[in-house]
Amino acid sequence: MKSLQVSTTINGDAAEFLCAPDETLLDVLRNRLGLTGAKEGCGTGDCGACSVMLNGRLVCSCLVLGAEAEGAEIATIEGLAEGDVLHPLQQAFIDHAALQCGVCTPGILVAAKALLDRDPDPSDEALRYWLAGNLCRCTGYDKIIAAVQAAAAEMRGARDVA
Amino acid sequence: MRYARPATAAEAVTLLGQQAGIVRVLGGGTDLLVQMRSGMIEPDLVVDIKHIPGINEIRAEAGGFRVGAAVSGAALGDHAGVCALWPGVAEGFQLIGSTQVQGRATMAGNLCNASPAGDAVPALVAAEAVARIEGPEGARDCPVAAIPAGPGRTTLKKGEFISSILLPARPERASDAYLRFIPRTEMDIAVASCAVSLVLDSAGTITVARVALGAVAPTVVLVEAGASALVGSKAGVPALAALAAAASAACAPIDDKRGTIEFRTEVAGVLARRAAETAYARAGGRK
Amino acid sequence: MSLDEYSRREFKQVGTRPRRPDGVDKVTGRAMYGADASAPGMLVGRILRSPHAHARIKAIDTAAAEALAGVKAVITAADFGLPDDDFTRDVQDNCMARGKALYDGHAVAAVAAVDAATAKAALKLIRVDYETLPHVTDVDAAMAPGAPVVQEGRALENVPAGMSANVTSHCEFGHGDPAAGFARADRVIERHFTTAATHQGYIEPHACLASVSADGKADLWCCTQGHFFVRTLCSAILGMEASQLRVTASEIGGGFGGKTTVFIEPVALALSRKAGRPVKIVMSRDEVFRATGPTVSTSIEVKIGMTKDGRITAGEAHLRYSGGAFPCATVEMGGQAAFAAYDLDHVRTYGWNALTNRPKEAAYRAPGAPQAIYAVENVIDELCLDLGLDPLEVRLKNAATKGTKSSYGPTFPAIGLVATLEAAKAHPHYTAPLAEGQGRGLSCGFWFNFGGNSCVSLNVNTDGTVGVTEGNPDIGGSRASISLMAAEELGIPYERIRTIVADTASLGYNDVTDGSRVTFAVGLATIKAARAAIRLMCERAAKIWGIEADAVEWKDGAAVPAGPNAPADVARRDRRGLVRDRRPDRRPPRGQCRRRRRQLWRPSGRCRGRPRDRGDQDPALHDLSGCRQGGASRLCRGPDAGRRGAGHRLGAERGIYLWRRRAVAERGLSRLPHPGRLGPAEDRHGDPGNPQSRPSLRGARRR
Repeated sequence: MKSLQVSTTINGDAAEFLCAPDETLLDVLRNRLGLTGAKEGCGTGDCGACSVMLNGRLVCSCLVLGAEAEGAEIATIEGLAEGDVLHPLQQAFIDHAALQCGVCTPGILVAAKALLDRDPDPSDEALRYWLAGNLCRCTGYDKIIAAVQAAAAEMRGARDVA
Repeated sequence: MRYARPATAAEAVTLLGQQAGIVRVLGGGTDLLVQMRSGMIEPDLVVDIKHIPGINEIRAEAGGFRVGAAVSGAALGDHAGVCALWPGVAEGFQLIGSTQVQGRATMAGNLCNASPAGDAVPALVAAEAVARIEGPEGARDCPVAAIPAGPGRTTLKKGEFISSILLPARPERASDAYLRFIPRTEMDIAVASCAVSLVLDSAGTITVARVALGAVAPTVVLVEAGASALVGSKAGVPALAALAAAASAACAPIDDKRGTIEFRTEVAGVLARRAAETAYARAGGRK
Repeated sequence: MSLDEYSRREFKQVGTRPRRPDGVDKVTGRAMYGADASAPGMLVGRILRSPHAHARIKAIDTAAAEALAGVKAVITAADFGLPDDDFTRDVQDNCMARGKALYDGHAVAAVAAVDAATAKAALKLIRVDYETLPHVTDVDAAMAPGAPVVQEGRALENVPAGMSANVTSHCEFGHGDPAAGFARADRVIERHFTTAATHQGYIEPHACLASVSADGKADLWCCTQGHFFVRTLCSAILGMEASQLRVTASEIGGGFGGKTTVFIEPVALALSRKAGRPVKIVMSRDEVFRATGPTVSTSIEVKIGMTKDGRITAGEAHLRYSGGAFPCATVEMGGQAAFAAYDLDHVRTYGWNALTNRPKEAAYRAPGAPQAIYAVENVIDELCLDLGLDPLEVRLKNAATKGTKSSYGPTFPAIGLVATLEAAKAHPHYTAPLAEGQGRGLSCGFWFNFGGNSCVSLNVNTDGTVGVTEGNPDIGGSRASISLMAAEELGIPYERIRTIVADTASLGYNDVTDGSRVTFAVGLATIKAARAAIRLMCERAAKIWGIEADAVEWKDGAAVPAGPNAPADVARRDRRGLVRDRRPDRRPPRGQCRRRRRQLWRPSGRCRGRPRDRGDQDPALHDLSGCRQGGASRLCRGPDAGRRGAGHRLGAERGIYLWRRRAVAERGLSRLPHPGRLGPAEDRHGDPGNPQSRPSLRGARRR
């Protein structure tokens, strides 16, 4: 299998990589680019642990070929914090103990941010439906919902001030 | 495996037609990559059609909408025009998978995956949607209902692929609805499902009805008797009961871990009745 | 003070809800899980798995795979030895089938190649000649005469002759005469229950990175609930000495009991040994479900007799468990737990384990108990329903309590069940009105607790902060719990403590993170280590002050002289806490101490004094460990106080110096404990002008 050369943008930075034609974006991120924040829980789009943004849409990177990243804009968990300042969602997850083993957490954060970018004030129900594709085995989800809502409230507050 | 990214439909047709062995079209990839991952298929060529001009777009056409084959569920859901005109189609499509899957999944892909339980298909069949197929002979149009041939099989020929699906125009006082049964509330595959599309007259009497069942037969079942039961009615109790009976009677389901034959048969009738009520209300009918 | 003594205590930190120490790493994607590690020259390992539930492996031809470019090693069971003990051999055979594939997904061969595509291609080139055999997956079917035999000759001597060869063990628990008890019952109900094998379903698939060097030293990185146990198993399987295998536990993406054993780790090590390069194996979800341990599957009969007023007259259960294709003793847990919640005169459980062609069982949340308890509780509920009795009152009436001879033998101490039931009864939820479609259920459960081996190293750092090193993978936030307990004991803020999970070469043996033992047992070891640290620091303070050790007490993170023994020692310090001069009116308590203290206060480069303690890296307190083994507490290692030798000076001096500096830094502050500072706050208590408040060499009075 001949490798493909792919040019893309990841978290605002230009990135180039070689990948096999059947290699997933998740494998590229993890194994070729050292971005191991996205996790593989299932490899079949069921668990959401590999969630990333692809051209503004929330996707499972295990269901995207690396080759499809050509010319795309990709955002991963590694780009969520700004320098050493955590994103309000990240801080809220810590403050509200919304994680335990943490392996689903990067995917949930990326997914939650995607929702808050569209809807700064989601209902709990909307939030639960939005995150239905992010499986968490430890927390029972309630704390995750509380954390996202707390972050959303904080972000709305910040927006109002600004 | 080879990965190709054609820039035109003609180029895609050539790639699909000339490659020997296993060739797959890559739209959203939410079925294809899972099949590749599990070892179900090992394609020799994957043709990524997302770079064909217009294939990611939804365009108004003749009072309806032409939905490009690479339009994702998320993109369709953001399109107010489609959601208003064909809410049942939009809700069926958007029931597939998670938010993440919706970010990639396509109606055309769901159609061509040809699962008996594909959530996008019954409402497309009820809508009399028409697929535009690009192929070696040029483009042709085909009713969506004629695409699936059985579980995992389509009627598309070598070199052909769907480039768009036309959701036709609708008169005033017309709408549709889609319901499915799953044991959970999200992220599951239909045990049974039903789409109902209705056109009402100014008095609220149903003049046109189409009822399509999913997951109760190898392909979507169009329930003519159910539609007949509705036409001329105002979705009253007798008409709905007749619809439910007709829907159940049209079922030829399998027994599996997700549902027994008896359960699927009964639930299909319940879903038909409820979907008809929703479609009727959406079309502006009042009881 | 014994750690096992219960005493009411006002906690300052335990019970608070600090931020978890692993939080930032986990929300930024920085935390390293099993599949996140890589090594230079790393190969990709892949495992070939049986497509048959039961098949004799007549031959495996790996020649074509080995010949494929990029393939660096191919292994089969032939690459492993034959461990003497059944337990290790079963673990090994589960990792790589020997002779027979015992379940669908059973590993039969493995490859290491330069990349995933090559490894995948190599697997296809391995030719396995299978003779498929009839299989059995249901426990009752496996126990029936004529069932396909999963493994021959595995029955323990307690299995009566004439049973199916799949039956591997039998157990019985109980006392009294159930037949007599049933005869006294007003109602007897017997029911049959089955439960399926369910998987733990952790989100993170098993993953490991193994590296074996040419001299036999090996490193293994893996997601596990117990890396010391991984070392035990892997070194036994690989025929290595434990000292040569260093296992590091990654962050763990959930385990729920399922990561208490090994599946891929010996395979990766064997591949690495053969290839001479690091090998990483990451399971797919499919592999996790096919080849890692779910719960037992069970078939259970429960018979319970009850009087009209709700007294259980007798209970009997027949438990048939299958832990898959290998013998397992989980049914003993079920047999012990089934009726343990109740105080019964007549009780008996009979347990059987049978082999089936399913993956080898692994622990899963009180292994074996929920299945049996589910059956028992269902029958009790049905009896309550039949007899018109309140299910909570019935359970209260029969609840085991202090002094109850348990259904499995021991007499219980206070176990809290009655209190728990009373609390449930008093809770508003128990009487809250139910809406349509709502219900309310009640059930009692039982599980054992134990301590197990735990080793903790607690080091006071040069700046007065504390490092705690523990050896149990943090599966539920135990680093936070351990830090809190250390903080509580030491009287310093939680934030000043960093608890890490060390690799197997860096700490004494620790049992697996399982059975709800870690917070309890590692916590006790931590408390013990913290108290030992306090004792040493108090002793050192005593030496500096020239007072008896027991005249120094530890308060709010600092050594302080007990009330009447406060030293008359005050010095002026600059902002960094260094000694500038001494106030003439404050003299040290003993003349000869003066020179030494001054020396010790000075930065080490200028110090000529002879330090009394040895220290290398964490000089204030080095190498102090609390160890808890088999329920008895002892100090595992301790500082060899008074030992002298070359090379020790710098650390020791700096340690004492910094330790003093902490005290100095506190001086200008209020009496509130200074965050994270350890050291004697010698001017807090007592009036130096008062002779009675001077340190006393003997008979120091405690406040």
